[in-house]
Amino acid sequence: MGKIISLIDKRFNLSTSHKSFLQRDLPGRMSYLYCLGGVAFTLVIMLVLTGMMLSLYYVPSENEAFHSVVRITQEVKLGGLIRAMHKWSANLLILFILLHMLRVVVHKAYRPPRELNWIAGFMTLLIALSSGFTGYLLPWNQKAYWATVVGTNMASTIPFFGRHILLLVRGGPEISGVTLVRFYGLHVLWFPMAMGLLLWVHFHMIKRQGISGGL
Amino acid sequence: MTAGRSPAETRREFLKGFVKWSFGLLLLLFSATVLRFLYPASIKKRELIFFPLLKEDDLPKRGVKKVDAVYERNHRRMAMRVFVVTSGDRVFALSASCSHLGCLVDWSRYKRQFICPCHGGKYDMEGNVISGPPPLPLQRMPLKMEDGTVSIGIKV
Repeated sequence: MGKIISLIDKRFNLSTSHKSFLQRDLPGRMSYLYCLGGVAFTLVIMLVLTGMMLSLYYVPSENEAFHSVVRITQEVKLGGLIRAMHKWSANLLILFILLHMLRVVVHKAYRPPRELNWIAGFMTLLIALSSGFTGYLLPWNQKAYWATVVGTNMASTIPFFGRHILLLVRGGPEISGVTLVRFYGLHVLWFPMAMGLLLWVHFHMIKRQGISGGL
Repeated sequence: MTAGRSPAETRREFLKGFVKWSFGLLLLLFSATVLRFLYPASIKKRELIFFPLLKEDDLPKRGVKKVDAVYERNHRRMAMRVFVVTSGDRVFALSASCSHLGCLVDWSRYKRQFICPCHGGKYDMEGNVISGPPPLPLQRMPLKMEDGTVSIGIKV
């Protein structure tokens, strides 16, 4: 294993650029509060892995979605565990992003020159919330359906454009199979890709700028 | 202490190894979980079990009779509704569950149809769909007559 890695490293010189980041000196007053973002990232990794597994059993169709989720929880071995991990990681992700934000606010780490990183982080929160909202519809049960009815109805209260935004989100006047497939596509493809891109930007900005010295 | 190395060095070596093995263990556990998850679950063979439904004398001479049956399975009382139909010289049982979404259908003696109250599915006396959303006819259930008792077969 080590031989293979060193073979690749010799040709592409990958480790030196990362070593300077991973083995750099950190500011003196660090605490476990600086791990909150890392915890959130770990949850994202768990969500991606468990989501990839769920996607092999889930069927995003009007007639099949509910039954496929029942099948995952009742028939597939460890299916309940994987689904529970996905659900709880999603809940905890929002919590840890907020705690991470709170830490950044308290330490005033959002200030220039790091304001763009704050914006990237905030956009990550928006993507996480959107993923939560779209993912909530996918079990296609009563709770999922009505939560999405209420949630999408909120869009219609926007003046002038509300009705059009509602139609755009639902893909029709009512929540239907079109909405389900739409939310599924956003949930498993669009949002994870956007999240990956944003996190890449987020981490590289830290790499360039270093951790804020704190208070 | 290992010869030629300072305590700090051995400590670092130990921690490096510890982290490496921890991640290895985690990876192994995760791989095992993935394989278990992806491997098809054993398909349970559903066996046919007969429960007494009614006395042979109580069979309808002609037409449809609604029977609410209660049977016990794994110490739980289960209820089900079936229609016993006598048509000509044939006797058969139809499940009352609508094939659309599982509502219980009713027999309309006046219209001579099974009518689902939920979405208006209609079936004829044989259980075939006449109109409405049901995708399949009413399910026929096997009957068995023995010693004057009619039993019905349920897959459990």
